[in-house]
Amino acid sequence: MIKRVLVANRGEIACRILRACREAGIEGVAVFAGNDSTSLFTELADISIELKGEGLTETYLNQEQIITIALENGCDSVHPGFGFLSERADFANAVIAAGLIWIGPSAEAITNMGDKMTARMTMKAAGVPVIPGVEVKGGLAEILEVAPSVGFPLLLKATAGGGGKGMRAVHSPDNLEIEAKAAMREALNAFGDDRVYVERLLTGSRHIEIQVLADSHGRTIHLGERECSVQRRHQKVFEESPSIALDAQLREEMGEAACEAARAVDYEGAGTVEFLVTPKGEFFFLEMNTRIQVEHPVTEMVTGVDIVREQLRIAAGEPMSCGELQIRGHAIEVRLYAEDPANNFLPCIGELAVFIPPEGPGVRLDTGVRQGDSVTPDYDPMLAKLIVWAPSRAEALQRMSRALDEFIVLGCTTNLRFLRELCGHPDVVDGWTTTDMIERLWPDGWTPDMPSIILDAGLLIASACESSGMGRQKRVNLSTTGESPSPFNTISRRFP
Amino acid sequence: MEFKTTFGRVEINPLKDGNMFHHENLILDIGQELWLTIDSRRFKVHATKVGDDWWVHVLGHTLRLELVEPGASGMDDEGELTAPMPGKILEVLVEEGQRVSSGDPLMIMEAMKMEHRIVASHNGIVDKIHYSAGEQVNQGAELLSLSDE
Amino acid sequence: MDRLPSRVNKADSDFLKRREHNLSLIENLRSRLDAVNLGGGGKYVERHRSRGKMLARERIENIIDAGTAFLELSPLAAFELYDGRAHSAGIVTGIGMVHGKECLFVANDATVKGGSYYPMTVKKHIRAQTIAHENNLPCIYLVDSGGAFLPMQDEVFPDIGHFGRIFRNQARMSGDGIPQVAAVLGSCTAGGAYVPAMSDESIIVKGNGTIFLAGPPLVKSATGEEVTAEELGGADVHTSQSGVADHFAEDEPEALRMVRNVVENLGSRTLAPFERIESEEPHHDADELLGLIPSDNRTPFDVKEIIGRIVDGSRFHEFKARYGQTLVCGFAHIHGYKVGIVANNGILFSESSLKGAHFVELCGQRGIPLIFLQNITGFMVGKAYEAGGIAKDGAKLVTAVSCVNVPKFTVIIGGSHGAGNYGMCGRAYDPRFLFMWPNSRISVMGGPQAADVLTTVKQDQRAREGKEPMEGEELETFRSPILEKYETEGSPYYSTARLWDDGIIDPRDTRDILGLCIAASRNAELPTGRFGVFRM
Repeated sequence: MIKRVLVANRGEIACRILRACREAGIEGVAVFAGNDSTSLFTELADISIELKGEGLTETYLNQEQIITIALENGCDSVHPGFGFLSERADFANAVIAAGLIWIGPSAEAITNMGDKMTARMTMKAAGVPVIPGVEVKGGLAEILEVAPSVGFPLLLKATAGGGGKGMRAVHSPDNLEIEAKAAMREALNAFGDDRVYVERLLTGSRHIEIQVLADSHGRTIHLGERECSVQRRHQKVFEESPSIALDAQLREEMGEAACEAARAVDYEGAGTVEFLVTPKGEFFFLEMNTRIQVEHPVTEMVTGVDIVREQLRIAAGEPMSCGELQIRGHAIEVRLYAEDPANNFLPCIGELAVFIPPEGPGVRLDTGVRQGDSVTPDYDPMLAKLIVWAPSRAEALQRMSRALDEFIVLGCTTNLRFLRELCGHPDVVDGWTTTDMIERLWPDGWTPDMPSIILDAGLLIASACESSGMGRQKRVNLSTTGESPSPFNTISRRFP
Repeated sequence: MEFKTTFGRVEINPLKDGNMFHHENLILDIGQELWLTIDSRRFKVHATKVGDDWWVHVLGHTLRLELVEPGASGMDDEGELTAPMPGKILEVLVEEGQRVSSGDPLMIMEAMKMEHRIVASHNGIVDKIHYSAGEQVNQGAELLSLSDE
Repeated sequence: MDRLPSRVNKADSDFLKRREHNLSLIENLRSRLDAVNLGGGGKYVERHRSRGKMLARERIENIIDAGTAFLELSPLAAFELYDGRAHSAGIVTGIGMVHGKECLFVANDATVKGGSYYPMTVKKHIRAQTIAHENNLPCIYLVDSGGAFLPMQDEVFPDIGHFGRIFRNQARMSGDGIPQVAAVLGSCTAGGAYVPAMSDESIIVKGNGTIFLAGPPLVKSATGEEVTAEELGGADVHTSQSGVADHFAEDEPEALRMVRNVVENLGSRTLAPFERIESEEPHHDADELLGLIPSDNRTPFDVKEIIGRIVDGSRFHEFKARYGQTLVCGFAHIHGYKVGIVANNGILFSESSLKGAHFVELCGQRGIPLIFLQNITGFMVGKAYEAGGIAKDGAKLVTAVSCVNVPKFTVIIGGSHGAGNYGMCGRAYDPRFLFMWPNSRISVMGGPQAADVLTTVKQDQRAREGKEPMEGEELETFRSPILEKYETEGSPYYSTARLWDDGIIDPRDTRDILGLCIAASRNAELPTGRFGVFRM
């Protein structure tokens, strides 16, 4: 039995896990850095404890402190979410060594899958197809040496990580050295490990991943696929399930390969096996993510399985509750980022002065923010995941477009309009999604397609509001009573 | 009223009629809520001001419009390149024909034991330098002339 | 209102050098403040605490409304005076909020020489009372003092600005409807006994608090009567028999709570009708002030860059921008309060003086408080200027500044020299508050100028006596003590030690401190004032 879970994460995924705990009658303990003290997830927890220190290393990546808090607050388990410590085998070991339940796969499974080279070798041995490439033990000189034999275009990836960090596409030998150095530097910063490896970049292919679940009672199943081909800067923005590229047979083959991959490392819990699928229908093992995925909701919507709830069950040693795989209708998720698509998708900061999410049938919003929050450069710029479900793909796209039109975010630049245009783009409508599609469709960068009437309307609204004094400071009534707060009230410190 | 948009600076001066503002075929009704009428169809719109920026949501589009605040009066005056007081030129920092930007120091003069910097009032090219280091100047003397680019 | 533009380049090496220099000045200020915050320090503090007493600043902290600001005044009074250990002159003064009302605190620090009154202690106490009187602030006296510092009795006892003035002020303020509240938290002997006695309402704490005109030793020598301090003037005697105090507190925390209760019942107040809008942070970062203030006071800087980092939204409506440009005048807001700003941007000429006088009159007419940002070497000199009547134009500015009836606030942001100090509302012109930046200098003229003047006088004298003029080393020996004297005496610490100002502040706090001061000044209604004759 699990009674009290420490959630070693923040933001949207912490909210997701804490809500699942609440539903399961399990108490949730949040840990938060000082600059997160008013974040939504701290309110959803039964207990919220501040992490001392500054910066990620001293807070969300501080294993010792997190475990101490878990023990001091009577937790019996730790859920790492995704990112941060979720794929750190040493953390999994430390949690278990402290007598706590690790809600995730074994440290061995994490190690085997987390290291991309080991993963490739394990998968090769298990008979799962892998991408052609050369495994590099490390070092710039060696990268330069092996690159020509792999061929261009190629992809440099951080051996230790995921999430697009330390990942660089190299289209010609001229850029190799610069990109290799950048990849190593990013990898070192993100994961503390600058090993990078080189593989062939399969252009025009799709990024498809299979969700698997495995319990301690010997059952390993897959929950179908997610199509995650639409990416920018190697990060996903648009995910769906099922994929139109898969027929029942290919789904079954890939599902079986994914289960095989999981069994090869004695996997337990929820995991995702990523594949690249070529236009010819060949598929290659890419990597296995030994954690809950950002895009898990689309699988939940079409299979009816609550993946986080199953994670809690499996970790408690119970058999998973889901039965035969049934895929029903179509689900799409888009990621709302505080970023400027017109400026190479670079992150933006600001204040969510207005944040009105869409509502209505088949709409789900997973977010860690609410109106009034500030978007700071301290953390990942993902603000929310908007998920829709509809009976068919065409209807799901219509529903997503409708929902995005309803979504109002003012005060911080986001990719909202970009997502909206994406949903109406013929390539997306036709399902012609590939990992390089954003670069292909908008080689010179994206700029909003804004009818002049919209700009005129915007200018009218802004100028009318400004001249009506809506943005002006309010005049404060300074009669003798009912006065505005004295600076003595608003400045709370000692001088000099 | 002038705004900076992603498409450059735009000036707009809507006509006001009570709570209604008109611009071409658009009408905005300002009350507790904002309602925009386009060709007799009404849409609810949203706007809020953060810092100097107006953020507007209209028909699924989000616009960020920066209100252009004119600089304070007197700051953009040209022809500031005269001696503010009688004194001595200590140093000439530019040469004739040199391109300078607004705020660049051009000359240093001393008067009343105070150093005084003569700075470029606008971007331009130094046309003519009228004094050299060590020379005494009277108040109001033109020290150098700056032409527009 | 239009926003001031900024031409600052934060990557500029000058900017970075200045910033580093000013940071070191602030660090120096902080370390000096930290030192005085310890009061008498060490065993004195220990002994104080062992009696169940809090330090003066802690007492104030316990009385003011939780989470509100406290503006301490002249914390570095008596700095390097006496034996250099009379920290804060043994008395903590400042303004804090109690039950929503700005109150003035005067708290003896018994850990510093037993809280006895040095000349600067008296001056600081009276300055605090002056602030209370001018701004109509209720006075809270936290008494814990042995009275006058006897070895210096000739400098604290009989004169107009000496000890007696404290009680006269209490009576006059009470007469003007300004509440006088005292809490006796320690000894309160001899003259000090009059502080609670002259108050409208007073509290005394059991055990520590005693009030008597003469202590047990003096009583014994005078009458032979043997009596303990508690029997002679303790809380019980004074609240049940003598009626010298009104409220009996079991312990110090209770006494401090009682102060709050007393203030809660002071009745209503009328605030001056200053115009106010919602407050807005400056658009330009106040932190950049440190990169703008030059390391050498002779280097001029554009004061509009300073104003843009002090006023709300960096918005400034400049008055007469094209006329008399060495004095910048204009309207702005600070913490929402409308203010008129008068700031030096060079030497004062006839035009700038006239413009200043005009603007000061405008603010008086409109009831807008005035802020003076002083960075002034003086009025322009020379034949043409004397002939042009600079003296009478300067006089107009001085007249306007002297007579205007709105509250004035002065911050010395650079040099404060010569008659410039007067025209720009120096201490003698009754600004409600006057603060200095750590980089500022104050003296009748700059050191080198003083040395020049005195050298000229000396050389002329030698010439009359038929002696050779001084040269080389001799000249240097003559000049260097003068330079040294001006260097020492021009320091803001020299000034603040002698109460020529109300404190040295971090430039970045200027806006907040001015906001607090304006809020405090609103407690007094605007007096009616008439301007004197302007020489035309």
